Amino acid sequence: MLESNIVFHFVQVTQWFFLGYFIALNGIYLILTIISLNVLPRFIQKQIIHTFPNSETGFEPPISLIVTAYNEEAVIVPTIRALLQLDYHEFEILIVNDGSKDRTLEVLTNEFDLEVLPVAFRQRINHKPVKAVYQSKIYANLRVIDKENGGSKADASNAGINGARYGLFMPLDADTILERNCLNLMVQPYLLNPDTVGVGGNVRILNGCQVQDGNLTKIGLPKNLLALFQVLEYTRAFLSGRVGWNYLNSLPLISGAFGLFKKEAVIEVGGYSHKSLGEDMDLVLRIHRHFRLNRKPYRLDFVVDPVCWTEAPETFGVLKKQRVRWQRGLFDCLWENRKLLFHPRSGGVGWGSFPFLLFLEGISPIIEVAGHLFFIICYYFGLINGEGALSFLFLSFGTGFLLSITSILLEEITFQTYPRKKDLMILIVGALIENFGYRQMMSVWRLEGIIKWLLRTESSWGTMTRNASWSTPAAPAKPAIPPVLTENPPSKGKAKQKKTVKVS
Amino acid sequence: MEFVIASNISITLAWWTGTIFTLVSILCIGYMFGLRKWSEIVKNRREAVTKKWEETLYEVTVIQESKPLKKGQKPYQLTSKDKQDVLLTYIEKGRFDPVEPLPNQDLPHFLFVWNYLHESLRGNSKERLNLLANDLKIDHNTYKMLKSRSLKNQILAINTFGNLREQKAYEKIEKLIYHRDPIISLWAWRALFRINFEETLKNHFSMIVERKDWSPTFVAKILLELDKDLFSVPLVRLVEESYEKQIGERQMARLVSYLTITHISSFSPLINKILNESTQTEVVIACLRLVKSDESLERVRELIKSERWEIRLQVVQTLGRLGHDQDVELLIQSLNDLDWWVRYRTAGALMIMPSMTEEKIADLAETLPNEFARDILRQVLAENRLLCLNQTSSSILSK
Repeated sequence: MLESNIVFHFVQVTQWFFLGYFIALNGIYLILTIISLNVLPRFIQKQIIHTFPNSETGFEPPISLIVTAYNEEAVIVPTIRALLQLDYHEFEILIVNDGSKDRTLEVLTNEFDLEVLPVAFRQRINHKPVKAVYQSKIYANLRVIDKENGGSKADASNAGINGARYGLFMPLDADTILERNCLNLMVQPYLLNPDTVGVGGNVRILNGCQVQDGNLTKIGLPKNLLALFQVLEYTRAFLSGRVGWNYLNSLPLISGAFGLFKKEAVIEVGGYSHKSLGEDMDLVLRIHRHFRLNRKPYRLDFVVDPVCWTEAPETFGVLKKQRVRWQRGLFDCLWENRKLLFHPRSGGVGWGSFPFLLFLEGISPIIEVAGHLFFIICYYFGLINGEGALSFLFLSFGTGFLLSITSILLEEITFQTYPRKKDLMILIVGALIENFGYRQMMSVWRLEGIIKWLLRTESSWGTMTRNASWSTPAAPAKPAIPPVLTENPPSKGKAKQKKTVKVS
Repeated sequence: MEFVIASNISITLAWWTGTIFTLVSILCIGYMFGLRKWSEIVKNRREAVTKKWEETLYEVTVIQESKPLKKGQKPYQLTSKDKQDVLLTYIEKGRFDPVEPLPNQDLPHFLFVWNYLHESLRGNSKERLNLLANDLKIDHNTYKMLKSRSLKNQILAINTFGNLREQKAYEKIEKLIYHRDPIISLWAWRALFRINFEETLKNHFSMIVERKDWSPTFVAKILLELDKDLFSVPLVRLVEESYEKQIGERQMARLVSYLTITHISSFSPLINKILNESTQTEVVIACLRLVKSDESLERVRELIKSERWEIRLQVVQTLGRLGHDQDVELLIQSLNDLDWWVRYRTAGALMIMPSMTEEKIADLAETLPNEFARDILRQVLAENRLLCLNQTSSSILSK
């Protein structure tokens, strides 16, 4: 009888623990979604002013686009061609060839007529040595930094920051597709508030879309289920999470794929960390830590309408590696910046988003996997009846479904990115079925990430094959910017359908 | 086991929460499909309005402009479609005379196209657009849009009245410049200038000092639209008053940067004064960007010793711009600056000095004792050779 009572109380207490955790985690998600539902429609309505013809004033600061490339010979040329056509009055493109083993540098040299420039390269933040800097003879605003491989995107980005000529820089991957007006939109927070040191934009999934010459020509949903689930995840993360945290002035992350930073601020905090697997989050948290703890005014912002498109993994193997690495990266960042946690001067970050990331989102895989195991074991031993187990599963499903549905709702209220009714149906079905297997699988992979972080096992970026199904063969295109010199016409490269890249 | 806990409160709570969330999700799905349907209706309406008006508006505003025909170009011929629509009325009667006013639900879509054209065009075309808007009797419903909860409609209404120069709307829009939303207030300010320039200049010009939340880019855009002959003096006066009131450094620097839009002659004495007196870094930098005459030359030269690299950087650029041979030596010394940016800009400044030739700079690049100075000169020489010395930023707010 006594044993029965102990077990009974244990089961009850554990049930309440899981329920409490569930309410806290999903309650915050829901609060962030409600904030976004309130903020986004007003924001979008005001964007009408950007649809009218605009003249440039000269008040917009110039921007350095830093494209890090490692073995990107297949996609680098169309990407750079698309970047050259961005609609902004003054920007430079700085390609960092991170010791590629393929023909990336050769392709760039042929296409953009590169010549070595005797640059007085200054190394204000650390990275592997620079072998040479090249200047395009066709485009005055195009340079290539050829450096030794540093083994991480952080190393290549740091070289780009050192070589950037302008005060604002945007780190990009070699397969990122930007919308043409995105720089004009991204720069707005800097104009409104000179204390701004970083701005994040909206990242969407490219799978299922069509791209020609580096420009998005058709928007669609991926046929691959894993990619479809990631569309939902990105929608939740950007339209709900980032908007919500930004409203609370506690933005914990600016995506490495799409952010605009003030160079001096990033150099002040030491640039990107080579050690961290989540170098983008680490940078943002270090900025928070440095500026908040030193009582320096700063602002990190998120703007929802400038959009960048990036490819998502479509196979279990690649996705698993990505998620394991993300989870390790998350804990790396949280551990490195633990000083922020409940620090009296850490404000909304130290008392809001950081504890949320650590105690709720960070350890959620442990709780979720433990929760599922607990209910299975209790059910197996008859400690809980079918109704009880079903109730908790139903709660788990209902919450997950609601969060995804509200994110789709946010998308519908604001952009309606996927115009066909069929796409909406597919998204809703995706939101329904991701609860049966996908989420649980994510929890297990993320748990593996935590374990690997705790064990400090060897980590590497590795190379993985992605299917660039969105890319259609390049058509001959005229450069949008008039060439400076046309003595040596550039040769044309061909985009390949398969490529090997580092997954970020 | 006695404690099969189906009635346990935590389970009940879990069950009902799950149920409620699922129901809310289902409601959201229903709402989304409703929203899609509504969006389709709105889209169809917008397309219909655009189809009906866009071409007509374009023909009226652009093609009917009297332009000399190019050799071999035929005069525009009306199509049968043209003759069926309001364009015919315009051609025949010299003005629009639609049978009925524009339906209320079509108004926002029409106003969008109408405003878009208004923002794109100049001269008589704008008058014709205004004539059309008056004939369509849009003002009553546009007043309603001014009070709309939709910020989009509010902005459209404000802009419409501004473009129409609707005097009766002045008072209503005047209240909106105090709106807490910076976009609404800024666009209201812009509309006021269009409706009554003198009155707005007299009463509301100082808003650019008061509203710290206004985007300097948009303020600059609005100022660029105005006649600089008319606002140069008031702006210089406003900057001077603000300087004397010792407003915040950042706001003062912003104000000074707006002077770039005015006539140089009107602001030079004031810039000279501020440059000589101010110790605020941002203000000094903003002033240095505007130095275009020799009045402030001595002060500029003094500032090369500033502790702030941002100031030294502006100084070398200013000296390069002013181009006095006696500053060459000063610039050569600045090639030893500890900051890379200052050295880089100094090398750029030397390149544009009238007395410096590429050969002389190449000599310096070989003979200067400082390795860093030699390196930076070599870089800039190479850049210049590649015709890519375009880094002297056109941006006022850039470093």
